[in-house]
Amino acid sequence: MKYEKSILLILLIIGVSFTSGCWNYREIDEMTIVSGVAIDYEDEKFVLTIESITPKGGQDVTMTSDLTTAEGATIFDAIRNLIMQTGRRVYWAHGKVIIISEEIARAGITPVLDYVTRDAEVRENMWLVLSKEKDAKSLLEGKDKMHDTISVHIDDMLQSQKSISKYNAVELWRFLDDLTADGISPTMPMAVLKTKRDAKIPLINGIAIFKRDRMVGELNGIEARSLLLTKGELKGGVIVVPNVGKTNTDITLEVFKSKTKVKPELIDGKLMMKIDVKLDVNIAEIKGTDDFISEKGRKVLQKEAEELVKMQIENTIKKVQKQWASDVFDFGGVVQREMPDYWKAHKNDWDKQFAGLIVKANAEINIRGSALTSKPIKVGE
Amino acid sequence: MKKEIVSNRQGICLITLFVIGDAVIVGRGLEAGRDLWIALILAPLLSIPLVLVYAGIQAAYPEKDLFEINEVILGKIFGKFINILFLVFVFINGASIIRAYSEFFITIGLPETPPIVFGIFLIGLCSFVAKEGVEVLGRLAELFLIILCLIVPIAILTLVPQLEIHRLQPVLYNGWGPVFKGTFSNITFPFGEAVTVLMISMGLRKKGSFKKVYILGVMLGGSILFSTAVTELLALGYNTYSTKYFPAYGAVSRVNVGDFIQRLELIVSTTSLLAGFIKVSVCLLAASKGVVNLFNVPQYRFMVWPIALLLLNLSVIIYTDIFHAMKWAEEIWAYFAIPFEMILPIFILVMIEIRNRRKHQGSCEHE
Repeated sequence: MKYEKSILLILLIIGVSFTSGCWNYREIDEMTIVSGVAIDYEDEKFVLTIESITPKGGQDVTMTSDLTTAEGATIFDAIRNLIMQTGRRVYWAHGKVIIISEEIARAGITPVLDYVTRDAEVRENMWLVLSKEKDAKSLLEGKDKMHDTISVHIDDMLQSQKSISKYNAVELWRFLDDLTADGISPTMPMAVLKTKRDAKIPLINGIAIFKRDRMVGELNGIEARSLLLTKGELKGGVIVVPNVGKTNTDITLEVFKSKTKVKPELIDGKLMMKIDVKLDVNIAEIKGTDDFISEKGRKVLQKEAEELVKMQIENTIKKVQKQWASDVFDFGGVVQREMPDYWKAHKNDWDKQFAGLIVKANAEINIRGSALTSKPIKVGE
Repeated sequence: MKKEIVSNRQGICLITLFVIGDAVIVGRGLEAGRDLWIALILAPLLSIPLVLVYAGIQAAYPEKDLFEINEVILGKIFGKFINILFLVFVFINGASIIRAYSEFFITIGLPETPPIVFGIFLIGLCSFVAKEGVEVLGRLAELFLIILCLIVPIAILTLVPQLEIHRLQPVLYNGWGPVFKGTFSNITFPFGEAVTVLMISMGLRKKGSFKKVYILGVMLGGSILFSTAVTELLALGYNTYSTKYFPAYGAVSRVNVGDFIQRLELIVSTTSLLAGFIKVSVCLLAASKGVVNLFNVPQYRFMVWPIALLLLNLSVIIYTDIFHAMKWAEEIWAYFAIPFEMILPIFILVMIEIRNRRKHQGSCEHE
């Protein structure tokens, strides 16, 4: 009797550990793993190009990538049409980037985003990139020596966004948050192709501006930095201050830390946005021999840099206000949080309100060092 | 039959896990909008009187379960009638929870699996526990709560980089009205559901500690639910939170600490299953005790398996699909639950009081 029970137990354990398994189990070598996808729109059909990776075993694991294109009336239709070529269902959980063609973005991006957020396999932290090339697919056709796949290459560029800040890195969920929230319009980085020796590689520069779910305009690198600074998302990057003190010397500052405060104020019934930015910078490069590290020189530099940052912010905001009236700066959100009553009254004509906003920027730059050397290069006699 | 007794600590754990249950994976009280977190502070506090009523009923008859108490208090026929109503409540509740977990796992990763497969495993394991009675359930609860208390803070801490305080602002944008609506729906689910614990006759060593155990259990459960809900709101923002069937899963899927610690979803969802497991077991045990009482069967243990099969079947046919489940949970459940969670317990407690006074008077007159 005593033995019977323990034998039964052992049998149970053996049975459970050997016969259990997943209902629809898929082995890794039987999967087509997607690392990136480009979506185009042609002849009323979505054209989907996936970059798939196949891990090859052996001494050292290598990846081979492949492009497959399929079309369908909807995204999901196109995804399943891929099976006609790949023979297997594609696996999405390792996807890194979604490249969307400008044509789709201009016509409305929601049809593309719905499937990717609804599906359980597609992860919400994929990057969104807008293709400035005519075919989004051509971006994936490039070749890069550093990486096995272009998607990983783009992923790297977006990961390092912090140190350049001339574009932003937008995860799918961030875009959707901005799209669904009141008082903020979404944005997305833009990519073009660049010839590198004989191969073409993608290059990311600038930010695409959306209004509701349609792309309306674009900002260049410098404007993109101002946008990030206004939103308080600037983590690094460089600021080139040209012609400091009229000495024909350009000075490059490296940003280490930024802090932004946006405060709405009502002045005579008109809404004014006060933007205070504080930047911690280092002098990274002095294109000349004039001394801007001494206290007197630093003051001049600081003043000119502050003026520059201030102008750039105001100009960027003015440009967006005037050309597209799309609140990409989250001013609506700030008003909603700080002045709920005003927001309630003016929620429905916020676009108009935004276009008429008075903006007052103020920059405070703290030069905290000059890297290794304390003096500019002094050319000997 | 020997009385089954659990320690105070086990009692608290049991009620805590029962309250957490499936409430931790589904977002409820969406009426409150962005101020859902205020509703989740108010709901446990406002359910204290309710919980005191439950504790009062149990303390009056610590040896009996709710069905037996009803019969004693309300008479054989009327008591049995009320018991049938409570039985319906427990059945529907138990089946809903099983279905909620089935839908959860289908939605997050196994879309081709029929819901009954999850139900079979869940209810099968629950039957083993329920068959052994309250004592085993109490001990399990003690163990499970420790696991839960390890995993939930880890999930919350790893989410900290994703949290943005402005997602909760502006506070009270739409005033207090929606907050109270959200509070109300949170009281009916999950705090008021603690009435089910009455039906399994959780005996405690000391008669006086019922109040303490019930209140502590509900408060502890409430604080865990509050902290998870606040984290989810801070991580997702209300817009996303309200569109997700399972906001907890959505929030945890955003965990990314240095590109290294990520994709904790499955750990967290499996942990949340522990609380649901206790909840289903309590419902199963309660249903068995109710059926036993209804048909005057001496032992509840051998009724557990048939009842489990009934619950399993009900869980499959109760909803046609996830939309139906959501509609039921959001629009109907709160009103369906009021008589069982509020009106009937208060009525029963009043009857107990009247009976006690009468007895007391009677004994006085004799002297």
